[in-house]
Amino acid sequence: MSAKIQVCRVGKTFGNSQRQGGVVTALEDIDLMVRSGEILVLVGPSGCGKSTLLDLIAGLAVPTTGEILLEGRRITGPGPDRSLVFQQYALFPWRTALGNVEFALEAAGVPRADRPRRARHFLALVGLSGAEDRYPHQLSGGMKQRVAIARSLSGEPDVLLMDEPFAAVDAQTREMLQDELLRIWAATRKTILFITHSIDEALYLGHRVAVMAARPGRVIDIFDVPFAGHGGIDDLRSLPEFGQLRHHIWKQLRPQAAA
Amino acid sequence: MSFASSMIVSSPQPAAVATRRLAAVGYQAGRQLAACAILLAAWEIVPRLGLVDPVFLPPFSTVVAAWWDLASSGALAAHGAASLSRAFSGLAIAILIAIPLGLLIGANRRLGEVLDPLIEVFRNTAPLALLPVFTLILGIGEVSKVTMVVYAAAWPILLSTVTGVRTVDPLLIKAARSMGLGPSALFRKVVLPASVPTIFTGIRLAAAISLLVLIAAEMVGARAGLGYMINAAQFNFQIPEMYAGIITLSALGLLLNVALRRIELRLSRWKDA
Repeated sequence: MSAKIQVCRVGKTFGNSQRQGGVVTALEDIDLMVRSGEILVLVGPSGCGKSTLLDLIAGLAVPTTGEILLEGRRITGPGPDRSLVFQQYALFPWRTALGNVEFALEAAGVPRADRPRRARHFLALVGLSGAEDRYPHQLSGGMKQRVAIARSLSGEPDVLLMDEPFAAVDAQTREMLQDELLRIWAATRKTILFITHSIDEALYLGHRVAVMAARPGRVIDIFDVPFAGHGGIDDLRSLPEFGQLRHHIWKQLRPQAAA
Repeated sequence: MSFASSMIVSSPQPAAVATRRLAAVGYQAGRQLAACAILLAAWEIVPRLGLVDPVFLPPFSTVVAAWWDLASSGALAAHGAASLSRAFSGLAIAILIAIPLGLLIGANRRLGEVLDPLIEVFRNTAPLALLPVFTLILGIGEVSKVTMVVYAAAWPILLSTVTGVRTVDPLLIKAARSMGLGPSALFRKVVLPASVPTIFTGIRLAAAISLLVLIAAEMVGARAGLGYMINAAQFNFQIPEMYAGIITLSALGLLLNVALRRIELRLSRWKDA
């Protein structure tokens, strides 16, 4: 598989040495390659800079050192080829579910006449037909996140960047949304970079998993998930291999958590 | 609404249900009006019993009679129209000036840093203290009174607009930026709609203030308007007429506030929960 995103020796520091508090190194010397059409999950403790890395790839911030390439071209800003999904949904509360999806279509330059039809299509894809006219405050957390996913898919991006998207919903909804995401991936074959602090979620969703450590933020391990794509397995989480990998990641994260 | 829907529902005894609902509505309205009713009853009885001098506080019924005379002679309408047209034109001008200015200050951090101290000083200067200045410069005609209203009403609108723009959820801005929106589209499609409820709260406050300030200005120097009418009635010892004017004023303020609150609720429906 070809590389979709290449993160090359990227570092990111905040603040400056003159000011109080000095320089904080959020990311140090990150090398990471996201393959076309895969789900790569970044797992790590809070403060390891995983969201910062996602912001850099989204083009919302600029790396201090190194560069990030998307299909060989350097990323200089946000673009319709990438879209973000946030933990807190980030829906526009004054717009209906349909209006939120149309917002992204508008931003992507889709002609006005085509927007409602396409927006409805993507809401149907996430199983929200019938909720088009509801406002975000009338939707449950899980439904809000579906709208957000529909919105991020609607501009037909190559890459979905998901920042702990299922961390704010309850456990049952989370599992449902995880399966939904795998289903959407199977239907669209998008490249997905998914961030989480949950080891289980990383193993359940990821084709590959990259483990990050904090202070400074860096990638300490990356591996293929052997049972990835076996959506047919009834209870993936009960496989012995699942447990072994889980323990493998847990060991690597443990000293971080203690520090 | 409850009455209408109960008529549509095919319950066995729709009339009985409707009556019960009507009774419930009546009971609630009764409770809410109880305090007013007690006050008015006291107003009627206390002067009649001679507990206060009825010359200075005539019984409520006398005031109502005076109000009716004023209303049927057309004097009330004339003074009311004079006041309202001043208040509304002042408020409208204040909105036209303060909202664009507030958007500018809210969106531009540097401009905000420069102007914030100045705004603080002016905002804490009582508008009425500036009335002599306006009168000095603009004379005692309409212009000075409307200017007074503009000045007093502009501050709450300006401040709420600045606050509205500055307190837009940064996550929404981040989301819109990630979709590729430039600064101007971001402002039009995210910052502006997100600030509307906050801005409107300022407008509602400003409407109340404009009426307040106008009445005071009219008492100082005017030949028409409710403020003038109340003051003139007191000068001429037409005490029931004075109270009639005051009641009209509070009814107007109440109506204005209710109407604006309705609009405000409509505009900020999406903010629920």
